[in-house]
Amino acid sequence: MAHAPEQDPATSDLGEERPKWDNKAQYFLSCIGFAVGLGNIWRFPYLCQTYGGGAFLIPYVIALVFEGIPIFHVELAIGQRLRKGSVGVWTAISPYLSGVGLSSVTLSLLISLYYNAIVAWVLWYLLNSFQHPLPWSSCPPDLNRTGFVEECQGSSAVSYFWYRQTLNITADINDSGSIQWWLLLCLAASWAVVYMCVIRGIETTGKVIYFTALFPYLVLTIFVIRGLTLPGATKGLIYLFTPNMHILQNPQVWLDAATQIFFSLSLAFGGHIAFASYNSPRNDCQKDAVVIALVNSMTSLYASIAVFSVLGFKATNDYGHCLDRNILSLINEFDFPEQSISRDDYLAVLMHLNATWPKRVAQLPLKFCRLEDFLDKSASGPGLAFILFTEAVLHMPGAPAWAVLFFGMLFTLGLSTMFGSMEAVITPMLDVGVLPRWVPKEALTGLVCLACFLFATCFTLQSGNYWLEIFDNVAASLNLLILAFLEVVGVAYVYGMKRFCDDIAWMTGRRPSPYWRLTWRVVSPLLLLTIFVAYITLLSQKPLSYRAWNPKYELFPTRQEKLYPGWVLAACALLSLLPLLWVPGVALAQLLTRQRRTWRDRDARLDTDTS
Amino acid sequence: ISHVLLCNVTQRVSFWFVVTDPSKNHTLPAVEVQTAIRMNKNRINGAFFLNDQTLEFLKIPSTLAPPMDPSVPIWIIIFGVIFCIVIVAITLLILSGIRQRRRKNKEPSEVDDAEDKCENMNTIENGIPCDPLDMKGGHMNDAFMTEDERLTPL
Repeated sequence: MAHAPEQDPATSDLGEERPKWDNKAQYFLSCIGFAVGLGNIWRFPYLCQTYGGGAFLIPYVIALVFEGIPIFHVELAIGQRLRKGSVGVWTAISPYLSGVGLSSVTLSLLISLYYNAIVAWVLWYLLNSFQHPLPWSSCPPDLNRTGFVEECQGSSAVSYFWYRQTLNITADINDSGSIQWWLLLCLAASWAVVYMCVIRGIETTGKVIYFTALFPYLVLTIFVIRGLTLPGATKGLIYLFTPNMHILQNPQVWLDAATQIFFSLSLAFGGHIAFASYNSPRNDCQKDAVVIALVNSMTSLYASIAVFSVLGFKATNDYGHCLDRNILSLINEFDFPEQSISRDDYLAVLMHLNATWPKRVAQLPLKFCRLEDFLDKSASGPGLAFILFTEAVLHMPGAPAWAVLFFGMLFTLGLSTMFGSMEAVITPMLDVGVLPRWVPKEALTGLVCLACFLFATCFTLQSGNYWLEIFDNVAASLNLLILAFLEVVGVAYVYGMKRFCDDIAWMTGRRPSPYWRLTWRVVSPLLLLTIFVAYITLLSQKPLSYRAWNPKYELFPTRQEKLYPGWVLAACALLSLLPLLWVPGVALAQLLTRQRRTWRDRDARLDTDTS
Repeated sequence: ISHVLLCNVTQRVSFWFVVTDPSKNHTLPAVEVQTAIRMNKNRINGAFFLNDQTLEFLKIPSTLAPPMDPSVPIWIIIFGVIFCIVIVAITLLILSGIRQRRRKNKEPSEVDDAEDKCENMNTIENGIPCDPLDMKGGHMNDAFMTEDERLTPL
């Protein structure tokens, strides 16, 4: 019943063998490295905490089982069976669908542009961690050295270092500012590192991946051990994991769980297809898909333990400082001796003083300190890494070492994801033969990396962070959802479920169970469609706005909410639509060429008949 | 201590003071005292074993220590090291790739050369030039072979 492939796919037309993984471990680690990225560290813990802790795991697991694993399996299976990058795979499935492959390539290219900009920021922080005291530990003094710089005084040393000394951000997206040379250097370095690792395709990434995929786990373990021994860690963890079942009634939770699973596994990039295409055909891709997806989710959970023990420590620390400031005000006002009020006595002493001297106490600037308020101050994305975590690290003994470890981990996480994105672009280019055969692979990768670096310099402008946010939120997300939907539908209905199940039976030795067939046919496409519709509805409900860092704002350091100007929205709409235009464009082109061929044949037949 | 007068002493160690000038018999202006204290805050702190957090002169903001500014920022040094390593690695990888490709191109032509050399050497063995045709031993004359014999029997 099982049929062998029509031609030997191991050799291309000119007899050059397709590169292979040295061993299964390299392939495994590459897929894990691609799936496990920065989002596992700074997006999942935030979602877990915002959406009622342990309760969030319920929609998360449901999304994993009905959406994440089936689509992941599809990608690995078609890559392994058809042994080509995304463009080749979709051309083989149906010539009308090769636009899907081209869209994947364009999208991977766009995403790697801004992803490596984030990696460049991480590199900048990593380079700055090799000094004691850390540069973000204190504000720089102002001109006559009597106080700190005003912007820093108003916000905090960490925020100042991020917004001013790193990004040198402008107050408005319209104001582009100039290119920041230090960020440009870091961007050049990160693209150079990416080029060094991707230079000969999987031959070189296969060697580097042992380090870049495993080092984050080592650092996470170190942070878990250190984090759990910090004071206040348990409070943070309890706050994180306390389930709040009522939150499940909010549809936003389900939407965020589904999108998180989807982006966390890096689906629809074409990277997993490219990695699987270098496999031997008879490899159990079903087991691989399940195992890699589970490893990815476990890593997210593990990372949230590390992140929240450290954040719990930070919250306890901040709470202690808040109490100390209040105590200092009391001591100064009532002339008590130094350290006469401990943190535990504070409330009792305050009540006593309020009873005896209410007027004097009322005029003091006493803040209401509550531990939950500090625990609530979590953030996701760069805010977590570059502001919250950097501040937490300052209070740990041996701060530079922890900073180096943390940013080293983020750097390797970002790198391993970049390998997948680059392979998603380069493998199809090699398959299609964009450059002539005599051009070596190193030159092709070099050209791609150079082009990406030049385009990404726009993120080193002073308004670069604002552009990156809109890129990330709008351009990438919608396109990936649509592409994944087309992938599942294309394989299930255009390629044919029967043919696909035969292929999988040939590759893995057993036919897919009804669970797989049901999810591929019905559940996953429906889920994706629902997510897409929900996403669009939420986007259109309120006008798109961003939060700007404006020192002249009255409520500084709170970020100022501003609306995106029209031309920015137009640029983003263009970016969102351009990659997808390949799909209908190529289908139309195919239709036209076929029509022209049938017309030509008909004319030729008419000529022979009449002559 | 004879020219320093205290007043308004409280429980917590805090007090007002004025400094008198014995020769002119009046108190020195506040501005002069303030600049003098600003310049010598370090010595005053040291004398009392206190620091800027524990000894405060009201209306005299303490001068902050200048930030430690090395001539070359540390991050540039580390950046330079990493960048040089990466460039060297890229060059090595490109060069080894070029060498691999040249070796692959040379292999088929090298094999041909070896065969020719072998033949040439054999013909001058022992100083006696041999007939090159004889060296390819086992030659069958196709004219005397029948159709069946050419193919290997099963």
